[in-house]
Amino acid sequence: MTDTAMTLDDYGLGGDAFNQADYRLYTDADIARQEQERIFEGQAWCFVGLEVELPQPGDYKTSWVGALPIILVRGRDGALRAMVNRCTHKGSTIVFDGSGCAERFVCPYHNWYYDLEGNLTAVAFGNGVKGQGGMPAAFDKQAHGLRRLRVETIAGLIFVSAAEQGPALEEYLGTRIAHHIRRTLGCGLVVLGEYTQVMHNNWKLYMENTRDSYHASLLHVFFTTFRLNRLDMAGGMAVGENGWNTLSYTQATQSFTDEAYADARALNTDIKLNDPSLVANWPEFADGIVSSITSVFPALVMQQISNSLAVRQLVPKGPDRCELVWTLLGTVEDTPAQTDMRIRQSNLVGPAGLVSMEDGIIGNFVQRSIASARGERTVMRMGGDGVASQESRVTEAGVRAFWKAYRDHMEPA
Amino acid sequence: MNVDAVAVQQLMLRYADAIDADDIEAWPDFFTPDGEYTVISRESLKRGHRIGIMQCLGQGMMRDRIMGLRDANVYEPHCYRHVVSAPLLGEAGPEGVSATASFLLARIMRAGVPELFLSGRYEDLVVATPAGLRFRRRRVVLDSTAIDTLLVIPV
Repeated sequence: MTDTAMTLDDYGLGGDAFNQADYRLYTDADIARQEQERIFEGQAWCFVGLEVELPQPGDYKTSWVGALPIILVRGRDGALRAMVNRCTHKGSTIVFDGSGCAERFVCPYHNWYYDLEGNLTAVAFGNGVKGQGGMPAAFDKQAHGLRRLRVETIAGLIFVSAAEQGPALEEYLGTRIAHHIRRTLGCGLVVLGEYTQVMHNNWKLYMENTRDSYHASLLHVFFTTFRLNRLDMAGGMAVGENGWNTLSYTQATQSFTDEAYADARALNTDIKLNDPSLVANWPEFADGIVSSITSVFPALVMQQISNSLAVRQLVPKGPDRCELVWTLLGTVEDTPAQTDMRIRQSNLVGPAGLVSMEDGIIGNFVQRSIASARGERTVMRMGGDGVASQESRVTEAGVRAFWKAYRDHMEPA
Repeated sequence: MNVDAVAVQQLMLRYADAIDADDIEAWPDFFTPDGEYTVISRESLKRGHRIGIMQCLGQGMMRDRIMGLRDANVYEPHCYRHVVSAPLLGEAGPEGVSATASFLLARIMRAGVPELFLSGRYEDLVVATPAGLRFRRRRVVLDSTAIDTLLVIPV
C-alpha cells in the first residue's frame, strides 16, 4: 500500500459493517499487486474455463488467474491440470496460441519440453553439441517443472487455486451458491458464443456492480421500460455461509405498478417492442427464478437472464483496466426453438447488450472521477449494514459481501 | 439477377454514410423486412458459434435497437467514421448476389480524438427489390474478439 503502515481499517474496511471503501482501493498500484498475491494467488478459487472446452485428452487452453498466466489441460488420464504458463528457464510464455490439442508443451524460446503434467522432460542441447556445452550433470529436471495449481470443478465450471491448501471449492462457494450453479449449468453444456469486453476501470468496480441489485432497474432502463425486471418483482439476495459469494434472483413476473418508480428516471410506459420475440422465453427452471446473477469472489459471474445463460470471467489488467471474457451457453437438451430463443435473448447481454451495455461504462464513470480522491469513501448502506441474505433486492448486502471476502483474503484473521 | 458492382457499392456507402451522419433511423431500411444483421468475430465464426455480439433477425429487432439507443440505453455521446473498401462480388444466385467488403471503423467520443474501434469485413447477400437494392443478410465479421467498453451504434 502507499503507506506500508496502513491496514484495511484505514481504508474503511474495519469492523463488521463493510459499508464504506476508500477510493484509493481502486487506483493504487501497490494495492493491485497485493491483491494478486493475497487473493488471486492466495486461497481464492478462481474460475478459469469450462470442461466442455477441453473434451479430449491433450486438449488445452490458456487462461488467467488474475495476472498469472496459466495453461489448463486435460491429461491422458482424463484429469484436468493447471500450471503456470511461464517457462522455468527464462520466463517465456510457453503456450501462445490460446487453445488446441497437444502431446507436450515446448517453450518456443530454447525448446524446453514439458509433459501434460508440467514436468520438465527434456532441454534442447541439454547434452551439448559434439561434446561441447550442455547443462551441468547436476542439473535436476525434476526441480524445474511448471508450478502447478489445484483444480476442482462444479457443473462443468473449472476453478483453480494457487494456494497449496485451503477450503474445498464447495465450502468456498457456500451451499446455496453451489446448489444454484448446479441447478443452472447442471446438464451438458454447449458453447453458443464467446467474446471479450475491455473495460477501463478497476476490476472491483465491475464485481461490485454484479452484486448490486439496487442499480439494476435504475441504470438499465431498457429492462424497466419493458417491465422485464423491476425491484417490485419478488426476489432477493442470498449470501453464502462465509459471506463471500452472492446470488441475486428474481421470481416470476407479478403485476406491475409504477408507484415504486415515481422518483426514478423517466419511465416511458408507452414504449413497446417492435419485435417481442426478442424476449420470448420458456420456464426453464422449476424454482420459478426467471433471472439470477451469481457472483463468486473474486472474479466470476454466472448469469441467467431469462433463458440467456453465460459465465463471465473478469481478468484484472492493472488498477484501471480489466477484461471480461463472456461465454454464452446452451445445453445439449435444447430444442431448435429453445436455441433460437437463446440467440434472440443474447441481444440483451454483452458489450452490445440492450440491458447490460451500461455495465461496460459505469465503472469508468467512477474510475475517471476518483483519480484525485485522497481519503474519501463510498457509502454502501442500502438495506442496512452487514452481509446477511435479504428478501429484497433494494439492498447493497451483496456489495458488502464482496468487501467482506476482500478483507478476509487480504487480511486473514 | 443482374446486379452490378457499382450499385452494390453505392448501397454499402449509403449505409455507412447514414450511420456516420447519425441517421440511425434509416438503418433498418437498408434491409429487406426479414433481413438479418449479425455482428460476430472471425474466431467465433471459425468455432461455429451461434451467437455473436449482436443479432437482429428482421427489421423489427433493428428498430428495437434504435429505440434502445435513442430512449433507453446510457452511454456517452459518440459518432462513427466508416471507411469501406470496394466490394468483391460473388456469384449471383436465385437468392441474390453475395458481396464482401473490408471496413475500418473509427469511434469518436465527444471531445475525444478519433480511435480505431473496429476492423473487419461485411459479408452480404444483396437482393433487388422494387425500391432498389437491399441487404437480405449482412454479417459483420470482426477481426478481433474484443470490444472496447460497449457497442451501441450498429457497425
